[in-house]
This record gives sequence, C-alpha cells and structure tokens, in this order.
Amino acid sequence: MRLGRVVGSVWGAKHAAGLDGAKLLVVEDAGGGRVTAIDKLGAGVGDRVLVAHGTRVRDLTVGETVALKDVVVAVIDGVYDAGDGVDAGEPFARGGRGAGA
Amino acid sequence: MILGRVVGEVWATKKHSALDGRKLLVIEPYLWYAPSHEVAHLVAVDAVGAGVGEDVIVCMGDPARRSLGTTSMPIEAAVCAIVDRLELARDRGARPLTFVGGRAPEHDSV
Repeated sequence: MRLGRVVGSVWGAKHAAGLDGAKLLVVEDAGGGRVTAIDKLGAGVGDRVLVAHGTRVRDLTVGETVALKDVVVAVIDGVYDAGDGVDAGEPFARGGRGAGA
Repeated sequence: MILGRVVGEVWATKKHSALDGRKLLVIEPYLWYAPSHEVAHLVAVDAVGAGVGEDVIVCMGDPARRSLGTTSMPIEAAVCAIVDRLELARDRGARPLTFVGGRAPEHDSV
C-alpha cells in the first residue's frame, strides 16, 4: 500500500459497466507519481489516503466487476514519524528521508 | 520479501472494516530488486508487534494476507518478522541489489 494525497477526481459519461456510480480519485504520491483509485470511503480533494493495489484487493472491496485495481482503503488522520513526532505534512519523498530527497 | 525499517505509523479513522484494530506501519525499504516500485515508502500491516525504528521483513501479496491469518483483508504487505541480525556477502551476492532509500542496515560482512 502507498500513501498519497488526493489531487483530483475523474468522471467519464461513457465508462465500463462495473464503474456505474463509482467515485474515481486521482492520488499523487510524494514522488509525483499518480494513480486513479476507486473510493468508497468518501475521501475528497486534499485528503491523504492509503491506496492498495491488486486484483484480490479489488475483489474484496469493490467487487469483481470493476475494471480498476487501485482502491482507497483508508483516509489518513496522521502519520507518526520516528524523528519528528506528529507529521502533518507530505508523505515521505522519493528516495527516502535518508537520501536527502 | 523486502528488508526495510519502520519509520512511522499511520492512523486512520475512516478505513475498510477489515483494517479495524490493525497497526499500519510506514516502511522504508533498504534494498529492493524490483525497480518497478518507484516510491521509497510502503505501508504494511503489522503481524508481529514491530515498532518505529526496527528493521523488519515485509512480505507481499497473498502470503501477506495469510500471515495475518485471513485471506479477506484488502492489503498488499504485512510485516512478518523483526530482524535481529543481518549478514551480507561483501559483494552483496550476485543479485543486482539497489538502494531505494536510507542507509544500509548494520550488518556483518562475510
């Protein structure tokens, strides 16, 4: 699973049948990578979320008919960081904290 | 399986019900020979009582779910061991190991 921030949402009038009524969010991780994930928890733009990937994850959360494998499984309240106490900022940057990224 | 250090803990109120009562740990991988994973952190569910600052082994995929005693949890990664000691060959073996983030863990060279 990855931490990321919701930066937008997507909707298409013409979509695969399994996506009827689905809410699709664009989630960006600290490295700038983006995935489109399906959300059933009610996350909104600006929220930090935990995104899980995979067929089994998809089957267990939103059903087998959904043509998407990234799912929002948690809306993050906070991250306790080893050094800095409560971290209200960005998820860890690409390259790791130790790499000076 | 992946070798990494626990660098944080995540808490979330709104989450999938199967994650209730589970500890979510932020892991910084040390050495990872799957370059398709570009981010330097991953989040894994704790199965062994690991805490921030410890070196751990993370298992991925279906075995991760099984290590938590279930097959119905929507997760990809679980912490399945806490590292006591690590021993690496001087050339780190034949695999093309790559640093993803952080320092190499303390280890004995042989």
